[in-house]
Amino acid sequence: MFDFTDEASGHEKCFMTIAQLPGFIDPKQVPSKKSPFSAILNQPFAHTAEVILPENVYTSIQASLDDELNKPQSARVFMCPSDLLEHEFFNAYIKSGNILMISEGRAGSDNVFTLHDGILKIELGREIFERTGLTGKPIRSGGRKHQKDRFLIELNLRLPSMLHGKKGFDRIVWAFKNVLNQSLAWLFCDLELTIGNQATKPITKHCPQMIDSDVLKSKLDRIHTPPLHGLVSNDMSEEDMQESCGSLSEWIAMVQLGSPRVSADDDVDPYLSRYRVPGADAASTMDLISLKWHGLISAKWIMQLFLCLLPSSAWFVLSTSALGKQAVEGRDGFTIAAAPNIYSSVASRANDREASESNNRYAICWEFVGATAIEK
Amino acid sequence: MADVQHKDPVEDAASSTAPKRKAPDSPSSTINFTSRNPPWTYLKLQLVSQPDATPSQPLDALSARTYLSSALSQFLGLTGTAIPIDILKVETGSLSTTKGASKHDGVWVRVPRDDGAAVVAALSSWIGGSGSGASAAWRVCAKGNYLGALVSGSGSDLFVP
Repeated sequence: MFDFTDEASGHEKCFMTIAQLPGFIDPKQVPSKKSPFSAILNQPFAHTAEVILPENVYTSIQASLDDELNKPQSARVFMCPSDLLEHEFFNAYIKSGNILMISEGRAGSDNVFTLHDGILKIELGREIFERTGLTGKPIRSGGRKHQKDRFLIELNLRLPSMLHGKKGFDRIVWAFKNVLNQSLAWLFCDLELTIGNQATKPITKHCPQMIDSDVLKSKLDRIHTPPLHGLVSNDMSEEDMQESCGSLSEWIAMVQLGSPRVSADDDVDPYLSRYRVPGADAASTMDLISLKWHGLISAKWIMQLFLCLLPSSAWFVLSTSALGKQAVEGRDGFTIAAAPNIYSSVASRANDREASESNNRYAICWEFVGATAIEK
Repeated sequence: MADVQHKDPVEDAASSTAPKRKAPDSPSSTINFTSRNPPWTYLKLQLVSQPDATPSQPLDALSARTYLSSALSQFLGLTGTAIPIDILKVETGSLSTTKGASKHDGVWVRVPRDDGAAVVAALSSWIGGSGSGASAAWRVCAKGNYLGALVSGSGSDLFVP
């Protein structure tokens, strides 16, 4: 109607996947290629994880959740990039240990460092990149096409050649000493946490501030909940599937937001809002529980959480938000809704086999890409 | 739990002897699609008022709607007021910052995706309010076509001590 172009909106998308969940999962051999497991493992850094489930389900699994799941532990530290390469820190955390680190800054405009699986990634502007003397590749900046403004340096610090005194390594040391020598705020998460010898850890030298990631539990009373049974079926067209999955994702987000519009007692005037819960005729009123963790959260922890929730027979929603998203088409996070019979297959000839399969659990996974967040 | 663990290798062995058993399941197991054109655009807005203005009422849905309509009609005229806006949530409260407590009025809205750019342009150029002293403005904090991507914020608060 109005002649305004919006490029950012055109880059936004959402990958939706509907997959059957396996009946049994070995925690040591999680299927890493299959959705929704692949979505969890492909997002190394998360800042928030939220679980929404019916209250009666929560009371039945609360004990096992409390027992099996330690709260995510992370810390905030201020250090220079060169501190990463100091002997003690480097050997303890990068060569033999496994840590997750991410620096402050916004991709696309600041110098951003991430460290994950021993691979240090540095995103820089052209000028600083050229001064570092390291090799990297140009990446999209969101600016003009074919103009190389932003560069990504990828350093695998676990390679055998990455040792003090080696030529290639000394270049990195030089760059961190002479070019990238500003102190930054980092988030730090030790994936091989051993309790007891905290005081002697190399990180204590940098005075880490522990981030409190206790679970934030909130009761959501009398929520208008859409029916999940048979939300999608194999005789639906793709548009219909997209629409019903889209409105479910919107409802989940509305519950996360704590919007009064999803409350069963809401009677807002249509002048203010015309939002309706999807499938309102069949919707039921339920008491829900939201569990929320905030901090630097690893994919490993989210997988643990997901595996803890899986044995419960009812539905649940797991939603996470990513840290360190790229400037162009960066991943914002994902939401997984797992429920029995959310997908129904209507076969042309219904036989006994279909009937016996009717108790299968399915997961719908939404992966969000490219939203614009300006706020703090 | 132990029962299941015992059962699993047995099933594996069965499927290895009879590989055909697995085949009919696989085609229907995963459905993928990409959504690019959802119906709505979601905005997280903040009402910014003059710091020296007298403390007014906390924001409610009706006054938020009035401010939004005012911004739209100022920039787009009568057609602007025809853009449907759904108010999803009004957030009020006082943020205690280092400079003292400041009032925080936020609102989450959704508008049709095609009108999203026009609404952002209208809100960001609006200066309004009643009287000469009490001027107000809208600040766009987040914008996206999927609400799920916006609700948790960007996480940059973790870096601030």
